[in-house]
Amino acid sequence: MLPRPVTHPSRLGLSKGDLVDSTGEAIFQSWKLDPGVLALLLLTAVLYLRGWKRLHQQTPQRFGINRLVCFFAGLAILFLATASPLDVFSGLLLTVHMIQHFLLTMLAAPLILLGAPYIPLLRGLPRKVRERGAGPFLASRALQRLGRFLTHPLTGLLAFTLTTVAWHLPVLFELALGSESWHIVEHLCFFLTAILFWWPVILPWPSRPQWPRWAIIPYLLFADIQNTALSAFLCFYERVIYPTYTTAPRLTGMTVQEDQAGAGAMMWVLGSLAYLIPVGLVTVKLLGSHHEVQPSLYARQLADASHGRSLPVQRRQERKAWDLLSVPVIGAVLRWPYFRRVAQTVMFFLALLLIADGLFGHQMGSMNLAGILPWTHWRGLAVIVLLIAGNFFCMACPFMLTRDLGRRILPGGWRWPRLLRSKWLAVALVATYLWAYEAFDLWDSPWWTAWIAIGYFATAFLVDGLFKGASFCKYVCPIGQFNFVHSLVSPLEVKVRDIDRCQTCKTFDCIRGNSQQLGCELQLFQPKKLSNMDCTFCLECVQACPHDNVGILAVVPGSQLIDDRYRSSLGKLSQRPDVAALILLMVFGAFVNAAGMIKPVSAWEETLKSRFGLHSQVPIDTILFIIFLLVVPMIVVGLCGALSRFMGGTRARWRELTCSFVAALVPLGFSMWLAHIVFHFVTGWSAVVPAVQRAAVELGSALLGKPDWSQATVPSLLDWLPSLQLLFLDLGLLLTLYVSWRIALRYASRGASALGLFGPWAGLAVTLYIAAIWIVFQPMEMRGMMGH
Amino acid sequence: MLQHASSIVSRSLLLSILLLALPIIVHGDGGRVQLQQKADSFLITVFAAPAPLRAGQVDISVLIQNFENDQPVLDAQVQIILRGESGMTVRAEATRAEAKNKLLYATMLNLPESGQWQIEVEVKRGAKNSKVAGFLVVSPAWPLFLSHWRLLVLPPFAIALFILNQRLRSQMSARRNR
Repeated sequence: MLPRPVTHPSRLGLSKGDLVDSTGEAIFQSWKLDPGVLALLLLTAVLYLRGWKRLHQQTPQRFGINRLVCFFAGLAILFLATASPLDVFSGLLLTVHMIQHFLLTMLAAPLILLGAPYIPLLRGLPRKVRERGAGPFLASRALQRLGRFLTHPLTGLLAFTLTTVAWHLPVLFELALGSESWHIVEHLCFFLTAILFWWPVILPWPSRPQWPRWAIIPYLLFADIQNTALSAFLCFYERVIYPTYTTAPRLTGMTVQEDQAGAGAMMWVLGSLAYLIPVGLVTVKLLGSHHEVQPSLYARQLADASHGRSLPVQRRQERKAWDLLSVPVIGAVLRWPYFRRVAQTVMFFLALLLIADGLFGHQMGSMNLAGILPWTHWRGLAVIVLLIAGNFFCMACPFMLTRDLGRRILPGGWRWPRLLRSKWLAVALVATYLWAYEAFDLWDSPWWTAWIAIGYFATAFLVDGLFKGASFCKYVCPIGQFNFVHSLVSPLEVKVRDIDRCQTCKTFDCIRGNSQQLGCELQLFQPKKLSNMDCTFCLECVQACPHDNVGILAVVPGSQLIDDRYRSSLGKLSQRPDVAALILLMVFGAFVNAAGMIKPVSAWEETLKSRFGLHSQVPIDTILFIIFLLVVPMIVVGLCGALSRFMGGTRARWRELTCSFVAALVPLGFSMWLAHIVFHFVTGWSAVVPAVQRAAVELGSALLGKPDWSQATVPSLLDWLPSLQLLFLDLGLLLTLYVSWRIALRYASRGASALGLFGPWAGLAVTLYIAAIWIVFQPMEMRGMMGH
Repeated sequence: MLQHASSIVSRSLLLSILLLALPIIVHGDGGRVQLQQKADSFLITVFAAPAPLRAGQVDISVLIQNFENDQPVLDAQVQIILRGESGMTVRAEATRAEAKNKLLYATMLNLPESGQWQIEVEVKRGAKNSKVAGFLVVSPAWPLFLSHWRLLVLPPFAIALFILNQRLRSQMSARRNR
């Protein structure tokens, strides 16, 4: 059948060139960039490149550039097949759909295998993950047997043939056309079985043949026969096989039948070529060689290494941790002596702006800078920076300026009272802050927010003006305590680069300071400092160290919670009930704070209020806070400690055990704060624009224009946000469980039962996780937004 | 030289991964054909996803073709109006910028309730206004936990993998000790 006659483009008011170009451009711009697929491909590329780089140094002949090119070409084709216009148009044209399948099965899969990806991907993994994570699986005999079964030619042939035929049955093909998820499953089946199919043909190093080489010729020919039969059916069948294409709009002038026949012909020709070319190559190789090349000794050793055994190559020196200060530009900026002061000054002026607007501006929270900046933006950015870097907000703390002013004006020099040299005062202040926030709706009161900021400045001025060191930061500031506790799971830490160098140090400038620099005001001695607890990232130690031996180093998040060594200025975590209480308050505070903003809890509070005939919410909030922030955590944790001690059969003291395990709850608590605060940050970040415009207008400046309050309303389509919140919670739970398990193992080494010790704490973590999921799925008040 | 280049490439790739982890703007389009009608000189096809449609976020996309030559029309303005059985109206402009398939005009809408929704598509091109209408059947929304099942099964899956890892490790060390 001929295509429909095309009307002259001039009838549309366009030149022929315009029409063709714009349609063509539109087609070529039709990309589907799924971040999940892209991230997976990029991660694979990074791992392969890391592994290939190391192997290329050791055996350049085996891991030449050709392997790298093949592997990357395979990934590029995989990307092309799943993200390019081919995927977008596969639902409209069967021919395009078949090209997509051809790329996945006949090009991407063999090219990836030509890159011999097994060992490079393994070597690309971080050493601990490779040895402790993947090693046991690779060394497992059952899994090795499974691997041999999967890479057997018969398995590959059957899996690939059956998958191809099954997915071309109308019922399954239609299922994939109608659902994006099934379409992904279809492509996964094609790609994975194609890997199995091509494995015996390519034999990616270091795999060994399970059939004689000549058997690959009938193997490929059988696959070609199956491909020919399927293609011929598509080509010559007189009815439309897949009804979806009947209803799809025709864009090319091809009828559905022509499209189907074209798809069959394409599959026939390209598919046969893909099978017959390797047949030719294998035949030529068989005729040209008379002996099988045995893998070299080194190759066998390297293959052994992939099964968890040690590699006989020269071990490289312990890699030094990544250091933020060694990053160009960022490192230089952070090292600049005035950087901290500049950052603090900027924050100080923002705080002044906030105070001024809070005291004199419009008193609706969502319209005032004091209602938006601290509760939505500052908190949101603070938790994000804690998650991806560390405690950089203490570094830029605006209260430092008044602290320094206090030191100049007030007599100072007193020592902080011995009785208060713990975290108990901070515990009381944090609890008061959490209660006041909810009871007095601080987030909706610019006036109160401004007075809290003023109070903060005054306290910092008085405390550090009268007392030595950074007493305000260490013992008083609730914001600082929040940052200290949650930076325990941050990926960066101010830390000594080479501990051996500290052994010869006689001056201890990092803590004592010198004529140029202050030392650590929080009394953290770098060689004995473990974790970010009490570290304000002031970088005084970095500047003071005469050996340039302190950096901002990468650490495994949460790893310092497992360790119970002596920590400078803190001692052992297992011996600090005040620190455990602070952690517990932060963890339960996260849940109570988030729960206070969901509708079922608000409704329950209202019911209680009316039942008791109260006019104010404050008594209800006070009682609920005492119950859920103090009583319940103490009972639950006390019980967990006792049960853990009993079930684990340990002689360790209840207090020590409880303090140790409470630290493991930090990741879960932080994930709840993240899920909650990031929600408000994402939904409310644009509200700052009209609030700034309003403040400018009230000051008599029309420079920024009239406030556009539509930007302060809740965006309706944020379907990815619950997924992000759940991801935070998942990671928080997993890290908490892992840390708890490692702590249990620590006690188990003294003869106790790890599972018995771990059980109660795991139960508590899972219960908190379920509570967090319930909270996240409830409708949440849009605080800081118009019409919350 | 090669080493340096590959190190730069791997760092760039890592950075790209980090950037990808950031939230992106949701682009819609695709799904099943819901409606195909001729209006004046246009052939208008309306697609909707997911299939079957469920209350919550739906992706509506529209292909406008010149009826006589099947050529897609790429310079129109498209308004989509949906009216629910309760009288609720949802209105949105569909644009090519929102679409993955740039021959289509797409938009993401929030349909808060299930039932039959009347859909109207208004196409404006120059002085020409065309309109097609039809019905969409919207099923009740999935419970929230079902629509996020992948993330909810992640912890049990990771825990199972960890338990297996620990068992294999203890078996390995027992073998070594023997």
